[in-house]
Amino acid sequence: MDDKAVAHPGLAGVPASAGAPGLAGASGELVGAFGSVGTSGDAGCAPGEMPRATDGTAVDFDGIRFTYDGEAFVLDGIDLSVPEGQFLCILGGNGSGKSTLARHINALLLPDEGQVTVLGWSTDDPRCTFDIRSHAGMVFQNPDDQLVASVVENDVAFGPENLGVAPDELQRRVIEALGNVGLQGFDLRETTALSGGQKQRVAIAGVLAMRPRILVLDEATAMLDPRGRKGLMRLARELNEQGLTVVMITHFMDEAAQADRVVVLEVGRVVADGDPDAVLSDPARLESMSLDVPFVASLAVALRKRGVDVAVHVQPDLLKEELCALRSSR
Amino acid sequence: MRVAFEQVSYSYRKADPAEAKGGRGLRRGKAKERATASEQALGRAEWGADPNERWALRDVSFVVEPGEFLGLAGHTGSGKSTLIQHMNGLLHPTQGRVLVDGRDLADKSWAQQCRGSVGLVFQYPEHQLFAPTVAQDVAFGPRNLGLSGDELDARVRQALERVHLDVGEVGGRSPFELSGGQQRRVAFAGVLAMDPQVLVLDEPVAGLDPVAREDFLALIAELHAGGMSVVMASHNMDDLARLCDRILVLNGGSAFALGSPEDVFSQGEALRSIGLDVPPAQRMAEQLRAEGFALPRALYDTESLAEDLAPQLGGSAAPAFGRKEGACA
Repeated sequence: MDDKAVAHPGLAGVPASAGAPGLAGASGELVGAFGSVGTSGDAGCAPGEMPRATDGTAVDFDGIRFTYDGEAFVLDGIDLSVPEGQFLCILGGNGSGKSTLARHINALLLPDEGQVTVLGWSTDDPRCTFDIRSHAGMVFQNPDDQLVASVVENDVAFGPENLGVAPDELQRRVIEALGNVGLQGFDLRETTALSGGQKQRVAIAGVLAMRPRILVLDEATAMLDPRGRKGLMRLARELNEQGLTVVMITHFMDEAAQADRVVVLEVGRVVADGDPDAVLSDPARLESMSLDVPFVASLAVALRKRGVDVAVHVQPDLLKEELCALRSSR
Repeated sequence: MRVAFEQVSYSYRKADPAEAKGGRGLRRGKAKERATASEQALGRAEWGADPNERWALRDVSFVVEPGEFLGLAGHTGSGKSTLIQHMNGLLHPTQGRVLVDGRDLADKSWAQQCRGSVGLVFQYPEHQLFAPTVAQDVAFGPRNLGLSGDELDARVRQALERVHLDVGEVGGRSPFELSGGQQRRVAFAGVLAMDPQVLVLDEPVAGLDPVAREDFLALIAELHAGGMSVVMASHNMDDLARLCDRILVLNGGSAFALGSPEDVFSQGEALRSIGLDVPPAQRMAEQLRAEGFALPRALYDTESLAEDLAPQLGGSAAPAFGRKEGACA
């Protein structure tokens, strides 16, 4: 499995800073694994060093601004703090800066102004890059872009192996990670022969095998069919319930409705931040932010317009219960 | 233009070295032989009889009438993409036949003529952009049809206009400088430049944001209103319910259902059994019906559901005037 690391010398050696966006876009890898080879020898943060004591904050964006071309700010003053264990959904139209923001979480991009702190480490300190990337794993949109090996177990082992995990432990982690994503027994399958949903699961297993504390899903469900999307969402929630911080970027309102917290970006700024019921139940506002209105909210609004007194929220079951209660009270 | 599938079956056959050597002609001959043999010996029901055959389509028959909007539903692996590639002769049936205006696409010269009139837009068509400028990319197809000079330029301009792009504005730019939504429009224009009469779309709005998605669907509806037949494969049941005249549901390569959105989506239980679902308003209607609400219509959308529910909950069927949407305490 060593040859995998060798096969990507250029990628592995990419410095933590600039130049990365194009790379990440094109290769769409489990970025957590990259850079680990290039920075592992640096003094300061030894590989595997225990995370610094934090105040329970997974990711903290402090007034960050970022531009690709030196002119237009894709991120224009983001202040956002994500507590550990939270399930956060980031919404926004194309070009709102969602993916750019996500790439700041594991130092794939560095802010031009402001500071990003991940589990207590600052992303602008190159000595911390290794630790940040081994604790914050990313999965991208296109399942076909993300896999580095032709056999599932090699692919899942790629990340942890670069962390220097011993072979016995590596084997354990691969099996455990595949179990976590519901792909037991897939270790010797060819990655090319998997469905899109299965490939995304392998990509997530590769991240999980590194034992991260933060999982970033950048439109990871966009190319899946409804069944694949549901499965991946269920998995993300399960992992979150086990304590993993999940940052999920999506266009799908039904996914956002299941998060603990929803943040909406518009041209590089946070324009809404709150629990799904608060953020997703104002159709006029959602439309002004180029977002879909969740069906449940639009039905509740249509009923209110007809003089029916129901609350506007985003959970189908709650609306159903409310309608039944309303009818029996009459 | 009328496209008819008559008992079409298609098998991706595992490579047989002897056949591969013999070239395409022999392979087709063999396929025909096999088809006849298997029909006679095994009957159509025994799809698993030959382990080398992998049937992606099984005995599918339907017609796309001129000007019709036909939806294709089915989960991954149900045969949607295979079926789509039969529409203009990219794939040929192992059994059965595909007729365009009554003539079999197995006829090579007819298939050649039909290539331009049945336009296929694949999934993520922007991945197939290749030319240095937008205009050159759109011109590629019609140029191969033999067009040149002013005629070609006019074709390119019109095609870009139909997707609401201006040739003066974007024609000279690299397609790769454009946004994802615009790139998809350019790829789409490349197909429209062939002047098709039937437009076949495989998941045309996958991966677009909500605004771009609505724009694109409106564009498709516009082309359809202009007289084009449209065949659209989609995972989004709401889009299918809104746009289609009829919907063909595929499961495991077979036609599972074919009918109006009302016919198809009133079978929620059956659809769920094959991994599909109904539009969200229809699902809510099913659940509320089970709770005893009176919801008589076969297919509901948000507005019609509110219309039928409100009177049962002390409201009125019509929305009150003067209240702005979302302006509620």
